[in-house]
Amino acid sequence: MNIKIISLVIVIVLLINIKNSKACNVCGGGTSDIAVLALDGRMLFNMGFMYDHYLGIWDQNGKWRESDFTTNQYKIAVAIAYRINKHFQFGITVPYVFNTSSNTGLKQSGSSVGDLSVSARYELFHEFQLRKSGSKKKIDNLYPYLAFIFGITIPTGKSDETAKNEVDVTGKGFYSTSLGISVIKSIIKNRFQMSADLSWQHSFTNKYETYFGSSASFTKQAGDKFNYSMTVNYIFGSEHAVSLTATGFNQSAYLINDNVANNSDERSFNFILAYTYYPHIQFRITPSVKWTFPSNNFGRNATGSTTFNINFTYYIPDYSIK
Amino acid sequence: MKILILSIILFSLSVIYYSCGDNSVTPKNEEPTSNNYVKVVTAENGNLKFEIWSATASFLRIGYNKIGFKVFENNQEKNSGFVKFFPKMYHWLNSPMHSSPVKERYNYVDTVGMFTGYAIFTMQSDTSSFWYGFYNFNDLLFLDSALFNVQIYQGLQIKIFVDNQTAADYLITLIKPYSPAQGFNTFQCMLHRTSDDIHYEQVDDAQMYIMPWMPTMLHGSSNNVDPVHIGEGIYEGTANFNMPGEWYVYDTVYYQNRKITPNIPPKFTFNP
Repeated sequence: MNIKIISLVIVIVLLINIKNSKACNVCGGGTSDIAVLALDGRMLFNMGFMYDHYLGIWDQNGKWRESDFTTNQYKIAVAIAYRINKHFQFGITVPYVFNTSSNTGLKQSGSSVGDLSVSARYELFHEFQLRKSGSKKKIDNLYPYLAFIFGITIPTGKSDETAKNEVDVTGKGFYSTSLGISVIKSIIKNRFQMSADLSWQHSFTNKYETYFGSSASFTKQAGDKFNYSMTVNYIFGSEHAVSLTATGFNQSAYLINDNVANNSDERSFNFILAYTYYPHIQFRITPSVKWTFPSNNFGRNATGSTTFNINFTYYIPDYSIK
Repeated sequence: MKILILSIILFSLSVIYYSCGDNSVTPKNEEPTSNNYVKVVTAENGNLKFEIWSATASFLRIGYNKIGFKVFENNQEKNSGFVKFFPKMYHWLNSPMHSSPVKERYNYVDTVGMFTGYAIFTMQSDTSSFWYGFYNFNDLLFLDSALFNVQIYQGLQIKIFVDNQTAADYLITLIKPYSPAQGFNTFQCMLHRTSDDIHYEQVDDAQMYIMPWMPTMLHGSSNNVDPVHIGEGIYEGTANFNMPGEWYVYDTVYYQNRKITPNIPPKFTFNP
């Protein structure tokens, strides 16, 4: 019985990590957390709290530039995930975003619903599954966890098109879709895993008729974005796990009125440290911190921030999933 | 005890010394924000002398110069009336002349003790480009063809565009900010029109609409205030640079109910 519980815990730890970096509030919300179910989970509820402290930007030469303002974003995100079968699950995340800024002369705070994210993943392989070996079945130690991930972000938040102030911006203002792959492999069974996530994000053109309350007439499309992350995960006993993630993205240049905006390609690189505690088999608490190195060449045309996160996750098991 | 008394005396003397120092401050090479003028040009002919003083920099420079004139006849300083100043640039012998926008008439201001106004220079002096000043006091005293120098300044921002309908050239000259800060900045500029590069008319009744924009981050900012004419040919508004980095401020100009700037309006560049 204990082995089964430990195995379940390990699978959950393997499948659930905090990987997405958060954009700063003045740029509009950020990517959302994706709740992921373990193989024995039918449904999952997640409540996440985020504090994002904006530090500055990397300019077009990769030079780090400090911000003179104290600009913060707080986010409460509710996520639900549902597993349809052994291979397919989907999730929805709805954030509520609060922004604050010390920019004198500007409204100091604002809040609204952020962008809604819907994701789905097709899990081709799971680790440690029973597989046929000749006439017998035995637990496979070779296959990694492998999933294909699909996502769409719906601009339900306020963007620079619809907001009147920077602090009212809680979303990107345009639709985006993503296509990715997630691989997890145990290096030391029940103890140490490595994982990698790669995704390609495509954003759609938005036509601006207003901009921060003024009339406007232009179209803007963010460049295609390539996200990557690599995580190492260590499990202590059956109740604790620690993971360290290196994550970043590269984004090609924007299009303005269908013309390429020179020098507008973006990139950044961050680290995330997360700890997960399981007070109960169906419940986990995951605090994490994302940090960046506020020095030259860790980004370009991108914002840098420090982010603290805590997620409370409860899932409903279903051991009949085959 | 003696040492203590001596120390007090020395300290008092040092306080008196620094307190009695020259209160005039040499203007830094920046946007004009003060009335601290320094003499930058002297033009003399016989018993007549014109001096140009600048509150902008310790030399005449490209772009906007806040200046004042002092006029002397037989070493007697004039303290009423007006000065007219006509700068002319020649590039070589018998070459065509062009000028620059200046105030039409510099009136005497008692509180400053000078005939005050501005001069905008579009080019610097060099080995093949020479500025000559033509001075006029009260349409009575004249001093012509006095050479003076204009130096280059990196913060120069003069935007020239053509109104395609009238074929007139327009110049928008930045007055401030030259050293922008993150956040809200007072944005000041002037607008001039010319059809011959010699005579410039100060345009006081245009409408301006600004749009700050980060060209590499592809976003703008909120709560900007469009410039309006506040007198003396100056348009003043507010530009919000909400994060560090390079910003453009696009300035769309309407004059006599017609947009005169091109579809991609002239832009000023800042790096707070």
